[in-house]
Amino acid sequence: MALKTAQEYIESVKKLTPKVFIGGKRVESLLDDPTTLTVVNATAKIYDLAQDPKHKEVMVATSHLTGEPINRNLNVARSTNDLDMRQEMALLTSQSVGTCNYRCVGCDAINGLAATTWEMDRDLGTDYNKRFNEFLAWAQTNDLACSGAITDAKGDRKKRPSQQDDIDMHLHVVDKKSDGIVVRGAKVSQSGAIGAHETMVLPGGALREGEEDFALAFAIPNGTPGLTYICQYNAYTAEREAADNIWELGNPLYGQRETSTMVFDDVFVPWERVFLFGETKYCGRLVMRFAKTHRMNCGGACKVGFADLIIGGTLLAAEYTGVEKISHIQEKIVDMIRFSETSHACAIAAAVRGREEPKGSGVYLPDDLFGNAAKLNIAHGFWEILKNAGDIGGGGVVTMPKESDLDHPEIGKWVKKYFASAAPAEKRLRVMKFLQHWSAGLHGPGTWHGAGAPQTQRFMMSVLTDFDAKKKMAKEIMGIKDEEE
Amino acid sequence: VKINIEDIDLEVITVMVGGNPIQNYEGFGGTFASLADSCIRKKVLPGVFEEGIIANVELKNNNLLLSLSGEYVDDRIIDFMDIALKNTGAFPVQKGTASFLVEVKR
Repeated sequence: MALKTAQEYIESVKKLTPKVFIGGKRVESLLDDPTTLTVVNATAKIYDLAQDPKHKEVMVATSHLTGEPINRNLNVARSTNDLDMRQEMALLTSQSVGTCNYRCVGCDAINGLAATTWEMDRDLGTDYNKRFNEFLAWAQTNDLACSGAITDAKGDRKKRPSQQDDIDMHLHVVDKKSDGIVVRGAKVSQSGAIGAHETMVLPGGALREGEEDFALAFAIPNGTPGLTYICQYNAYTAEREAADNIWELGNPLYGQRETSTMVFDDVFVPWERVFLFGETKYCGRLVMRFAKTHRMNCGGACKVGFADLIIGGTLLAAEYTGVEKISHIQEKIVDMIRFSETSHACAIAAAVRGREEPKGSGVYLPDDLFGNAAKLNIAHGFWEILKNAGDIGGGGVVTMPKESDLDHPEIGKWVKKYFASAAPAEKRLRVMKFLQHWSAGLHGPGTWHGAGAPQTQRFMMSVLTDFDAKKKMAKEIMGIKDEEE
Repeated sequence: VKINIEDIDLEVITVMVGGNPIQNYEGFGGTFASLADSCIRKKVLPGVFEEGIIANVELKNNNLLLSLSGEYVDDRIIDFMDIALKNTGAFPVQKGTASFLVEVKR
């Protein structure tokens, strides 16, 4: 099959009816609910981008399995150029939808699995890599949207998975059958599975001997019985539900990032879809490989695409209020660019310095230190970018009335009059709402925690950095000699 | 590793309603096992909202015999099965020889 068009994707999910709840109500159709529709819209846009000849280099790759053109979201990186195009895809998709592209975690999970299943087969004589490659070739051939689910509910963080009062706090196997396994637990903060065809499920972290029941990786179709999606619900959800006109919302078509808690209530997974089962030693490696790829993309490219939109909106806000030539405004805009582009530079460096891992696998993963630097830098920088957007956008970003008040028979004339500035009130209100969506929205905490909270990156950077080498360099310059030298 | 998609062990499932073959679906390995598990263990048709719809289910080798409760016309049953197969990760196909059969009776 050729690459799916956006319309073909939409057709393919018309009859997908996963068990989705939003605000306590069951969603009957992904296309009819205003919130789930944003997930479908964003996912459809990613298909659309792959059809556009000007984005072909970024969005389309050649399958190393079938030799056919595939959506890069289903590609296993086989070179540093692949890694570079991967991070460029994260940038482009964020610039195009202004929210999660909903396939990023799935793509990075696929790359982690490609490397780790290969390694397990080499070390243990298993056939996980064969299974995985066949699944991937099938997904590529059908151009399936694959999301990813990693984070367990975790319960009491002081306790290991097997020590929890409620063992379901980490996804685990409850039954092993001749044709598959049955799993129970939950994955939280999952982006976009509701609009995907498949979800790649990985362990939530490194595991130890004795924790085999939690060592699981598999692919699951999203309508599988026993799977329930409890979607996030917040002020933006309520606003969208109440909206008469989506163009009054900050991101009309694609919305805020939509996540859900995926509950696995004794879900059956056939063996053909199981890619790790009980091999605790390989869970940490799998998650690390996923994370290093994801930190490059999430931190150094995805959020940079968001920053481009925020900077664009902030520039317009400055122009619409007539402050665009004031020096401190210009300085703040430059600061926003600095925060953003330094992160992108880290992503590019992570890709260019990428290497084959494990040796002989043919799978390329980004440089871990640069990937973590990209994520840690943007985690802090994004707040600064939001702060400057709120600063330059002005208090109106949060005190503005509803855009449709412009048409109100009684107050419309005043809204038009008092919200006009260097531009008509219509334009000012539209850009204020856009900046409200960002600066008072969900993306700040989302960027902080997405791809792991900053403490994780700090830990990784301290592990990956050769502190002794740095001290030695400094001593040599200063002429310090220790007694033992 | 090169993979010819034709060589992958995909599963072709024929859906029969009222004794007539309606549609072939193709899914990745384990699709039939997943569908059978849904019907037998969970007592649900994947993606179908109606509860208690499965009156009886029987699995004989690669044949799944379903009896549905309620007064549904054939077109509605065909729609139920289309939803069930698509929610199990299978897609309608014209080609292929079916190795699995799902037969639905009212």
